[in-house]
Amino acid sequence: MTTAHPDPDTLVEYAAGGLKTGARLVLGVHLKTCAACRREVGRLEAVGGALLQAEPQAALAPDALDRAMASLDRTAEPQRVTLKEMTRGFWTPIGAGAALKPLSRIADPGEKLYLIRAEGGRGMPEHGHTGKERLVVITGAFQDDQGRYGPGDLVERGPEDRHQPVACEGETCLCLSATEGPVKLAGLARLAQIFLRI
Amino acid sequence: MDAAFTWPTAALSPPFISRAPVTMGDGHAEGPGAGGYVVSIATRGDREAFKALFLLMAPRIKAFMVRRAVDAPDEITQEVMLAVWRKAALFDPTRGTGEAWIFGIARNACIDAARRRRGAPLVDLDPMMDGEPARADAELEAAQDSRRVRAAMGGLSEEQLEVVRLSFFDDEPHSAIATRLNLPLGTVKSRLRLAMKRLRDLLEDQG
Repeated sequence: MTTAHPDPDTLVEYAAGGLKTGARLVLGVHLKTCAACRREVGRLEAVGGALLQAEPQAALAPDALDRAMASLDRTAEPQRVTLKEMTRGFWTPIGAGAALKPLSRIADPGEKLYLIRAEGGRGMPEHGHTGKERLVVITGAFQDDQGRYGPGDLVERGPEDRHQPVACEGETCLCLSATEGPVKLAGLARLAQIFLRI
Repeated sequence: MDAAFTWPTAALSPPFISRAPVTMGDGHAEGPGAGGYVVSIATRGDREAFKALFLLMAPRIKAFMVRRAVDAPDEITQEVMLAVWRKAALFDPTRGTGEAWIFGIARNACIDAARRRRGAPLVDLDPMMDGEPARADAELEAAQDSRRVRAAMGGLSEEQLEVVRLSFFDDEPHSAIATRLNLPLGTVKSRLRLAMKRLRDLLEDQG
């Protein structure tokens, strides 16, 4: 049962296509588990559909239809990186029992995207941000000063918030976090950030 | 209202900027609609249905791409229509209209195109399209009936419609919309939020 949802504004940006890729992926994890937000996105896409329907007709190239018909038998889905594939590869240890995996090839310019993993009972590094952070729990659960969050829960934090999430006992917590502007880590993690340029 | 943001053709303008609910602005929607064609493609691999859908939607998709200022609107329009052909089986008419579904594919194609351009790998963009969880809440949403949606949009004020259109069509972050309309960001956000609330209320009234 998902209890923490994105802002209505964020859902509008998601449906309209205005969100950066990292933030879209974060929203995607939430939408997989949250029927209420899926319904809302469905309503918003219906608005997009109605606008599309009301578009004037642009002139197509004369061979447009023939080209499409000729491609029907050989069109294939392009290769896409899945979230699971993103978890593979090198993780940067950050404090005891916690690690980060920067997804810089996936993120859009101007945003930071990380997978964050912490063993049960371990803290994720205390941090603040220069821009908005959107974080979603993929597996496990964590707790911070504002509540407890489980799979699918999505937290949006403004630049003014500093917080220190702690993974709940018993299970490793895996989260995906997208931040506008750089993340400001505190303490040792900050040193690691400087040296490892994550 | 700035001329650049008015409805593109005279024929379409009145119903969308008037406050009175509209029934239908143009003729094509009285026909089977995009969804019917998509279902025929999904169930029978119907090439004639694809042709009809192409003639109905491709010119509109291209107009959308031009508005979003993508590099090669004709190419991306082809990609969108071919994605519609490949993914037709994933369209669930009980979840929404064909136009809404195609809008989602067109939006994702813009994102793919931008990523290709800068050499970034493509990612899974639509978790809702890939299977089971979404089907669990398959129910006919009155709110997604395209006539209802368009009628409800006729009930928005001009100002509200403007921020809705800018958000959906011009791919502008809300901050860019604020600059463009010379309004504080908070005003754009609250106007959009009110517009969405009003749409929801109008849709529920009709349901």
